[in-house]
Amino acid sequence: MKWSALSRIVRGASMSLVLGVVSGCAGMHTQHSTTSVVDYLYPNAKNEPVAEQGVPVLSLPMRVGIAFVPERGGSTLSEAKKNELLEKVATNFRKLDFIKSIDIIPSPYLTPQGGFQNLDQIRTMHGIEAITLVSYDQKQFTDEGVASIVYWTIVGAYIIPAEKNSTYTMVDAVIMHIPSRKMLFRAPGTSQIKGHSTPINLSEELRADSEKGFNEAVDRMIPNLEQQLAAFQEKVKASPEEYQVVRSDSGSRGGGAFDALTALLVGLLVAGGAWWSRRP
Amino acid sequence: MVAPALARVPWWTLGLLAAALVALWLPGAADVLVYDRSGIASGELWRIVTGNLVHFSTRHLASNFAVLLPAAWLVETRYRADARLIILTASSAIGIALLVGEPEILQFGGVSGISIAFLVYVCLRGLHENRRWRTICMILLAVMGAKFTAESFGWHLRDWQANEGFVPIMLSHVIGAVAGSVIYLWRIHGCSKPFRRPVTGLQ
Repeated sequence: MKWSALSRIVRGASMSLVLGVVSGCAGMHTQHSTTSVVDYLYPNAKNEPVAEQGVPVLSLPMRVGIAFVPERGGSTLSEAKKNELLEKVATNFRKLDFIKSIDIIPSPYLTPQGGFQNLDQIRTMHGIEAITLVSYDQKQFTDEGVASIVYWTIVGAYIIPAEKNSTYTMVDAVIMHIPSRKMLFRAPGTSQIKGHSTPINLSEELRADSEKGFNEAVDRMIPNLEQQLAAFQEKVKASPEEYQVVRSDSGSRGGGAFDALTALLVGLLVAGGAWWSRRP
Repeated sequence: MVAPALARVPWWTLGLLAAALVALWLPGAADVLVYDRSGIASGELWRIVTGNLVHFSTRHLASNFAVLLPAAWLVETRYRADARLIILTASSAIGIALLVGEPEILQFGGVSGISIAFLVYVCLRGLHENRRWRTICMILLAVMGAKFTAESFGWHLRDWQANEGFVPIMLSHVIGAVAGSVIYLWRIHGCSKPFRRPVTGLQ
């Protein structure tokens, strides 16, 4: 009788434990991490009006910095991972002839809500003229599938990956011209990662999905950046009143050219004069 | 019937335009053709001549051909034999002058020097023709003279080239003008007394 009572107590306790574990795991979990360029650059936008922007004078070839917008709380990405992602972006643009250098700015140099004062400090320290600010928004959802019923067996919680994870990531690169406070162009990149995990290795899988999400989003952002850069170059050519370009390496690339007005005047004079002179 | 009609087509002018369009739009063509100092130093001598065909943007090409097309067309239809002479002389003279006189220029592109050679040549030849055309040619030569004077003092109507990624090189225009004048003098007389004998009509 005593043995039987003890057995009932152990079984009851085990059931309570499993129920506790399962009920604790049941439902949907979300994790959200985000950074905002607007929050970083204009922390007091409600109280102070945004300063009027000047005409950007782009000195080519340009020294550019690249950095992640600082997080206000804890960081989702390690400093090493940030460096790896920024290096991937920088490598694609270092070959351009109007880029003199791209410096990766470590996170500790950027203070949360630092605004343009912080950017001015970075500009002085690193000798850069423009900066690429990379912000992100990542949301992770964990739902339980039907197979999670096997968690009742305890062993199932170790071997059956019934947790359904979804990771949505968006990274956004904004290129700011620091002296004029003007945004030159921006480009986004997005990714969506789906995965499964057991409750035991859930946090490990979520971390892996998070990193994969950032990798994919940055990979998709790079071609978008190239596209936006090409569009920006055309915009600069088409609107010299909006952007001034000064080539500090003057003399390295020369061209034989007329300005449009002279060309039109001379062309019309030659063609019109030849026609007029042949008239009786 | 077809042969004389074809003979009147200004092939050299159209050829220049076609080559410049190919250099602008065919991916990689500009890299092979552009005047590139290091490339020339390593033996790619064609760049001395072909650099004139390369343009850094559609706007660059359009402004240069706005002058070149009417001037070259006139030369080729009125003084046919001289068109190819002007192209070859001016393009090679400009390339060599850049090598010698602009050592800091690593890359160069633009047909404007050749345009000036055609323009100066056709205007100097026009001084021997009827009064109307002579007047137009005098005005054009005066405009060119004013342009050279203004640019030698660093004055430009609008400095748009910086936004195209290059600096304007005046030497190419000067050499183009010299090339056009030399061919004119050589064609008319030799160097002495170029205006003594009136030269008119087709050759």
